[in-house]
Amino acid sequence: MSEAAAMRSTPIFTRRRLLAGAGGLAAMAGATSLVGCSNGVKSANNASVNASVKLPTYVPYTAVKPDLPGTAQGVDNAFRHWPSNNPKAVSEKPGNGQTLTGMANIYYAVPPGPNKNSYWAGLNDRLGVDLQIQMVGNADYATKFPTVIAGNDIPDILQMVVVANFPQLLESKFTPLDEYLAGDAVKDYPNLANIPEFTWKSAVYNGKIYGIPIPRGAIGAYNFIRQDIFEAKGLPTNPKGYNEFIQVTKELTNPKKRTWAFSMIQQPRNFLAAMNNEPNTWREEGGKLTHDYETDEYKQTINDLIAMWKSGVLHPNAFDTAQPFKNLFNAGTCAINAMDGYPGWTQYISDNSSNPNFKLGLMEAYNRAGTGLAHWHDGTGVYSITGLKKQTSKDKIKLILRVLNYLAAPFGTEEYLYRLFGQEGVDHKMSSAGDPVLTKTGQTNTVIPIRYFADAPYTVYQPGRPQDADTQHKYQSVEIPTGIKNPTIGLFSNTAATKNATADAAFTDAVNQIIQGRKPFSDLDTQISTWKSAAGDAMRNEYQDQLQKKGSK
Amino acid sequence: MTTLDQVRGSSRESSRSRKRPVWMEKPSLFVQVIKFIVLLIAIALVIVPFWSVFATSLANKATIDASAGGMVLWPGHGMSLASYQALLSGGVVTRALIISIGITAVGTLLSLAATAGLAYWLSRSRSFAAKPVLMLVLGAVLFSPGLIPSYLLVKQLSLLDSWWSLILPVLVNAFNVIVMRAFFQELPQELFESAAIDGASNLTILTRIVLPLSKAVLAVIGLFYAVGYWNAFFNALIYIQTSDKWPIALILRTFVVNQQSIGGDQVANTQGLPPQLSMEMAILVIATLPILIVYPFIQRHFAKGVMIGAVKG
Amino acid sequence: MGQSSLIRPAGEAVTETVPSERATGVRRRSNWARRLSRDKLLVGIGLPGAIALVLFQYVPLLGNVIAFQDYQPYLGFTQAPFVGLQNFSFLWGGDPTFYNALINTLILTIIQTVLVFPVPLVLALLLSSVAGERLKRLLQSVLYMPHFLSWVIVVALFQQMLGNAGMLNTFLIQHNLPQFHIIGVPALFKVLITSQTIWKDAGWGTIIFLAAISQIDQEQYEAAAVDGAGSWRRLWHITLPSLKSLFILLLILRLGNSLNVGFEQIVLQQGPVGRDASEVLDTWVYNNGILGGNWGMSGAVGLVKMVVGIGLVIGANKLAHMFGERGVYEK
Repeated sequence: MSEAAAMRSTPIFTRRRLLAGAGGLAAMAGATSLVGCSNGVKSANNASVNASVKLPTYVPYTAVKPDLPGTAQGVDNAFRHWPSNNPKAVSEKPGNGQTLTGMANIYYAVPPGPNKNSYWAGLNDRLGVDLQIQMVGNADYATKFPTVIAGNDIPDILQMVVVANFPQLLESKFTPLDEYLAGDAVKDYPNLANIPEFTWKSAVYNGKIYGIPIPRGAIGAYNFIRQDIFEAKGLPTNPKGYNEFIQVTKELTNPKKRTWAFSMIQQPRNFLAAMNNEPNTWREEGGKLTHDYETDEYKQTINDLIAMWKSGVLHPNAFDTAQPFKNLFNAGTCAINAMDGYPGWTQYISDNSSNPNFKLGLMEAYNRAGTGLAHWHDGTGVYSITGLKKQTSKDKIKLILRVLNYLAAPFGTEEYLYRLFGQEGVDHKMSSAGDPVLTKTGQTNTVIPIRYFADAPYTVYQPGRPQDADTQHKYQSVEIPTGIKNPTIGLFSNTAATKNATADAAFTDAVNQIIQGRKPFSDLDTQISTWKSAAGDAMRNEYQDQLQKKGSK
Repeated sequence: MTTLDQVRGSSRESSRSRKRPVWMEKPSLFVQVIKFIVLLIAIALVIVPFWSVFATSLANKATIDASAGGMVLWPGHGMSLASYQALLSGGVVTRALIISIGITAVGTLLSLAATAGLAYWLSRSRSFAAKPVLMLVLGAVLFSPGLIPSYLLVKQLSLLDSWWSLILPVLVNAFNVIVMRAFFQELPQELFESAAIDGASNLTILTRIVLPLSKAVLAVIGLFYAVGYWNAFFNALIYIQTSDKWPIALILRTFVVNQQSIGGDQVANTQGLPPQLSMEMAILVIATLPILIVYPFIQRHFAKGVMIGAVKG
Repeated sequence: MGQSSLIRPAGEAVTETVPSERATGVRRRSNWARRLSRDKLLVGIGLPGAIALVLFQYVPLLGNVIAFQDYQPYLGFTQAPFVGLQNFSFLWGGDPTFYNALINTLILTIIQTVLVFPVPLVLALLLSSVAGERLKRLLQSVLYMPHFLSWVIVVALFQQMLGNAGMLNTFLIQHNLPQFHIIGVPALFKVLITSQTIWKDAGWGTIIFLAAISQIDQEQYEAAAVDGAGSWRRLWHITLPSLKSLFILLLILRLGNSLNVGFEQIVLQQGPVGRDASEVLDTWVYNNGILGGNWGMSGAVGLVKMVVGIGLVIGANKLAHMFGERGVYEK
C-alpha cells in the first residue's frame, strides 16, 4: 500500500528498475576478469590473437630521481619529500580550443564547475581544451555505466567498467589504439610510455589495445595494522606462523571492550590464503590449471576460518557486505585491516590526523610454519582502463592521446604538481619542508577525477611524513620478491564474467554458511563440484586452451 | 452560508483548544493507560534511533571512536556543528539547495494539478473513456518502467540534462491517482446533482466544490509528491550530466566515501574533515528536516466538519 | 440539455439509448462521439495527467521485449538476437533455488499482509483518539520520520542498535546478561525483515488513514453519542465503516504487489544469514540474472511478475465485489 507510494516517491534504487534493466553491478576495476564472448556471438578475443599484440615499448621516465627507487619486479618508487626539481614533461599544449567530454567516478564531494573553479579553468588552459567531465559518485558508477552505453551517449574519454561481453562492447563502440601506441609508436606520448608492459596487458582485447590502463603497483594491497594498539599490548607486528598469528588475534579480541581482530571475513580469508600457500586464484603446472577452490590449501584455510569464527575473534558483523570496515579500523575497533587496497595509506593517515596516538603499521605475511615469508599474491597492476570512443577523425584521437599524455605526467614533474595540488598560493601552499599542502580551496577544487582518465605509475609519497615512504618501500621490497601472479592475467574466458559471477556468488554464500557452522564441513566438496560444473571446468578449459596456444612462458 | 461559517468557526476553535468535543466521554483509566503505553513504545522505538542519528551528527572523532566506530547516544565532549558546516559550506551546496527547492515547488504543483485532474475525470465512472484509462492507471501501479528503456525515452524527448527530466517522468504517480480518485468518489452525490442543476460545468464543479472539500487528500498527496521530489537523486544521477545542475540529494550522496572500494583510492584531503559517520548522519538530518518543518502546516488541513454547512445551506 | 455524467450514481447500468438512430453502427459511433463532446471538459482536465502517465510508464514497457531476446546494452533492442521463450525457462527448469525464493517470497508476503498492513490503520485509530491537536500532530510527526531513511540507513541503524556488536548487546555483555541475537540468525530473518518494514513505514501509512478519518462527519459521532453509544461502538459503527473502502482499495493494491517483498532491504542483509533463509524473487533475479549480465532473464521475470500482479488485482477486485464493496474499480 503505502509501500508502493513510498517506493515511487523516493525512487532510490528501486528493485524493478534493477530487474528490468539496471546496471550489472560488475566489480569495478581491480578485478580484471577479462571477459570473453557469450553464446555464439563471435569475437576475436582469444590468447593466440592477443599474444601477438605488440605492447607499447616501456620507456621509464628518469628526469626525477626517487629517494627510494622502485624495482623492475614491481616495487614502487618512493619519495620522502616533494622533489625540489620539477621539470616539465610536456613541451607543447595538447589542444587548441577544442571541446572534449569525459566520464569517470569520483570519491569525493563534487567540485564546482569550471566557471567557479580556478583549478579546473587553469587545467583547461594548460591542456588547451575545454574539458567537460561528467562526475559520478563511485557508489553509483556501475548503475550509470550501462545507460551511457545503451543510450549511445558515450563521451570521448570513458572510464570503463568490465561488464559481460566486454570485448564485443569494445569492438563495436571504441577505438583500437594500436596504430598510435603499439611498439615504438608510443614514443610520441612519452608519459604513456612510462607505463610498464605488465599493466598494458589488461588493456588488450580482441588482439588490439583498447584503452589506457590506470596503473597500480604489483603489491596491490597492504596488511594495515594499528601499530599503536599492537605496541600498547606488546604484540608482535609480524607474527611468525599460524600459532603466533592466532595468539595475536586472541589478544586483540575483547567483546566487552568492543574490540575484535578482524572486521570482515574476506580479510582473514585473504591473509590466510597467503599463509597457507594457496595459489593466486589459479595454479599453473605444465600448462594445466588448478583453481584455488580445488586445492587442499583452500580447505585448510576454511578450517582455520571455522576455528576463528568459533573462537570469536571476528567481528560479529563480519559477513555483512556493507560492513564499514574503514570506520572500524579508524576507531581502533579492529586493529588489523588485512589486504586492503594500498593507496588507502594516504586516506588512513588523513582520516586520523586528529588522533595523536594513531600509528599506521604494516604486517608482513609469514608462512604457516613461521619459517619464512609466505608468497605474496600480487595484484592485477591496474585500477581500470580508459576507453576512447570511436571517432570519425584520427586527429581527434591524437588530440585525446596528447591530453592523456599530459595527464599521465610522472610524479615530480611540473604538470603532476599542478594536477594534484593546483596553483600555488591558491590551491596549495608549500610547507617549510618543501611539501605541498592543500588549502581549503584546493581541497574542494582539485578533486576532479582526471586521475581515472590517465595517471602516472603509482608513487609512494606522504606529504609531511617522510618516514612513511621508508615504511612502505621497505614493506614492498620485502614482499614483492616473494610474489606470485595470477597466471590467467592476459587470458580470457567466455564463462568468466557471465556464468562465473553467479556461480561464484552462490559458492561464497555456501562457504560462509559452513564457516559459521550452519552447514557441515563435508558440504564443501558438494559445493566445489557444483561450482565446477556451473562455471569452473568451463573456465579452466578455456584458459588452458589459450595457454597451450601461447606456449609455455 | 452562515451555517457553514458557524461550523467552520466552531471546528477551528475546537482544534485550537485542547478540550475534547462535547459528545465524547472521558475514556476509562484502563484504556487510557493502554493507549499511553502503546504510544510511548511506538514513539520510543522511533525517537531513540533518531536521537542517536542526531547525536552522532554532532559527535567528533574521539567520541565515535570510543563507541567502537559506531553511533553514539550522547554527542559528548567536543560536540560541534562541524559536519553541517562541512556539508553546507561551499557554493555547490547552496546552488543545489536552490535547485531542489525549485524542482520540489514546481514539481509538486504540476503533479497535484495533473493528478487531481486525472483523478477527477476517473472518479466520474460513466464518463468517456474513464474505465479503460482507469485500467491503464491501475496497471501502472503494479510495475515500474525499466532503467534503460526510460533513459532512451527521455533522450528521445530531448530532456537529457534538463530539469524537466526530473519532473515529467514522475509527474503522475499512479498510486496517488487511485487514492485521490477514491477520495473524490466519497464526496456526496447530492453536491454534484445540485451543481449540475444549477448549470455548472465540470471545471466549475472541480474548482469550486471538489477541491475545496478535498483539502485533506490534496495535502496528503501533495506531501507524498513533495517528499519524492525533495529526496530524489536517482533520476538526476541518470539524466543530468552536468554536476552544476544536480539537486541536493545527489550532491549529498557524493560526500560519503564508498567503504567497499577495493581500490581504496587515494584520498589526500579528508584532513580536517569530520568523521565519515558523523557526516552521513548530518546528511540524514538535512534530508529529513524540511519535511518535519512542513508537515504541521499540512496537518492543519485535516480539519473536519467543513462540509456540513455546504449541503444543508 | 444532455444528461450530465455527474448525476448518475456509480454502479447503475447505462440504459440511455438514442431513439432516433436505428442502424447499430451509426448509433455506436455517434454515441461515442456524443459522450466525448458531452465530457470534453472533463477529458480535457484529465488528459495531461493521462498522457504523462502513459508516456512515461507504458512506452518504456516496449523495452520488455528483451525478455524474448539475448540482450546486451551495446547491442540495442533491434540488434539483439531473438530467443523466444528461452529466458522463461526458470519457470519450468526445476532450479531448487528458484522455488526456494518463490516460497520465501510467498511466506513473507503473507506475513506482511497480515502483520504489517493493518498496523497503520490501528495506529491511525489510536492517534485520532488522542485528545489535543498539538499532541496529535507531534506524535504523528515523530512516527513517520523513519519513512525518509533509505534502506541502507535503516539496516545500518538496526545493526547499530540491535546488532550483535550493537548498543543493546554491548550493554548486555558488559553486564553479563544473556545476549539478544536477532540479526544474523537465519530462523529469525523473516521476523527481522517484518519488524524493519513496520518500523520504517507504519507511521507514514497512518497519514492516509488520518486524512480519511478527518473526512468523517462529526455529527454522526455526536448523534451516536446522544443515542448512548460508547466509544467502542462508535468506532465499530462509524469510524471503521467509513474507512472500509479505503482499506480494501489499499489491500487490493497490496495484493497486486504480492511478489514484491523487498529487494534492497533484503540484499543488504543476505550475507550473514545465507541465501536459503533470505532469497526472495527479486534477489534471486539479481543473483542469477543481473550479476551474470543475463538481462533477458531479468526482463522475463519482470514480465511474469507483471502478469501475475494484474491477475491478482483483478481477482481481488472481483472478490471485493462479491462482498458488495466497490474495490478499486467498479464493474
